[in-house]
Amino acid sequence: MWRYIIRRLLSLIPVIIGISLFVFLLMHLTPGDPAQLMLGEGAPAHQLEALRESMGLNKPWYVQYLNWLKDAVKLDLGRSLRSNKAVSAEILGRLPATAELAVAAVVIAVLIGVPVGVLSASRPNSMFDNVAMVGALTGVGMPAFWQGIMLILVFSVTLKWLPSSGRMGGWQYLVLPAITLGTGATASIARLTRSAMLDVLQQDYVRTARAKGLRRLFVVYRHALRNALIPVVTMIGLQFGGLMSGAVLTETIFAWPGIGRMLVEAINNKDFPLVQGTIMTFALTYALVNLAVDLLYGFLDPRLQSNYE
Amino acid sequence: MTDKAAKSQSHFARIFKQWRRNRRAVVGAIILTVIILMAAFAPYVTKHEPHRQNMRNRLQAPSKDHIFGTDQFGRDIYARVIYGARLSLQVGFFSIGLALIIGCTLGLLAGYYGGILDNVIMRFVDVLMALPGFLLALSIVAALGPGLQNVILAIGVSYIPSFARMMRSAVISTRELDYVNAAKSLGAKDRRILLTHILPNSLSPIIVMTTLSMAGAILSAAGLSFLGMGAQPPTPEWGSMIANARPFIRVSHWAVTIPGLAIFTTVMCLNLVGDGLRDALDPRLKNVG
Repeated sequence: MWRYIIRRLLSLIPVIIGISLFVFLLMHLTPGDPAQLMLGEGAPAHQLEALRESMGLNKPWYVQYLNWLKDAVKLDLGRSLRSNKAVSAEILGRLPATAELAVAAVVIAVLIGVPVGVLSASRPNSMFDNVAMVGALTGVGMPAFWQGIMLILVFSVTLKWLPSSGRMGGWQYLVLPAITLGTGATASIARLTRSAMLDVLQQDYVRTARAKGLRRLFVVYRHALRNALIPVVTMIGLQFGGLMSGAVLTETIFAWPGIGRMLVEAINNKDFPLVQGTIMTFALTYALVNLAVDLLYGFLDPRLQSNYE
Repeated sequence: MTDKAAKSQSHFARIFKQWRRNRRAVVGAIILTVIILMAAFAPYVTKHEPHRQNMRNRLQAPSKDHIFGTDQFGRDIYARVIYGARLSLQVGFFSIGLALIIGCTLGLLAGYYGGILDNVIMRFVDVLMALPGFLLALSIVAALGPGLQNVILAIGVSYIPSFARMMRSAVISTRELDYVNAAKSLGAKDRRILLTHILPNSLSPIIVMTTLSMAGAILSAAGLSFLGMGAQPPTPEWGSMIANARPFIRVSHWAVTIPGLAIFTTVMCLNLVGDGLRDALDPRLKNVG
């Protein structure tokens, strides 16, 4: 097991280096001179030149990249061009807000998506099933940013029940962003839970359990759900990618001070080190969550544990 | 040849019959056709121009003259949404077209030749997959600068990995089949085997993935434009319409609501059609997309 984890972690290294090189080259392509950005318009040429020299901007791109990489290994991601604070500090400062939002969204998605999927599957083609599945399709197709604005329109502007933006502490601020971010995942999880449950409920061991005289509900929850959860767990992992993308839009709409909104601001400000650092944080988190999902998989389905040798 | 043609026709006829039984998919296809026709014949379905401003007629609720109301510059929302459909459909079509061509080529080559080529291609794909699609597209647009063409390119690149991986696994599963070996022993060239034997037999998952990806591409494009990184005002792009009308939402919400409903309807119809195709073409593909 440990060897498997270590092997997986090691195999992440080339991918992370690859994506960092890719992003670095992208940032390099971007028009805009970091020295100019830091000193502002109208800075004298010799000052610009001196700053470029001291920041290493006059060196070839691969030297700049290697320098960046050397620092990045020591968790030094450079300094923001705007605030001149360390990028790692900026990211760490914003990360809790994003984590809070993402966790709330996943909790909503699992707490609503799984039961709805189970109920739909246990009474296929019933009224409940039809309504739930149309609702799920709606959730999959809804643009998150638009949904967020509509929620603000209804619950903040019209009903005045919940705040429309910010994060001043208090659960009220979390409700609308978390619903916005969680909707897509809720819908996908509900759909997948339903189809996984339908598959499992047709298996022989379920029929056997029923034939033994076990109560239907007991069979559904005790025998079927655990097996149906295996694809659902993968789905939650896959949804996490969508969740990170959604966080960028959701945080922008609700002025939520997380790293998604910081990324958009950094792009607009042409704050290259901050953009690069934020994207690397997203990539690393994504990789680690996928690894965690793979491990959880083996926990849920002991047959797969031999793969972890 | 005629025999083969007749057979393949009946194959598709059977699939079509199966697909037609799915009522949701048929409804989706009908609405989608209507949207495409309206976009194509935009000047004939609205008498208003999408760019004509009228400051005395700002932020109106729907009326007989403006059936969806007017936006913050007094422009007709209906006209802008119809012209916006052209853009969104184009983005969906061209970006996924790009991903389809590049991704499938990479997947074919990697799966068929294996070895070093496979390794190089798949490591490249792994790197692209290290970021969720929307974030990858966002980083690319951030570097290239805003604009609809860059959005098409960025979203196209972000969908390359899924097409490449799917194509590769399809090739690997058909590569060793008898008819491929037969073709090989008859002396067929690699190109012929790839294009006439392997590719057509991998068509089902490609069709399904293309339809569902177009829905995703349209959503992503609207999201990028919403962030100000896609189409620029005054272009009537749905995402950018929502972003620019948002400050006025307390006065009038129509300029936000209607483009959002347009995105939602288009994406939902594509998903319905795609789901229907998946069930008709190959029920085993339940988890693709």
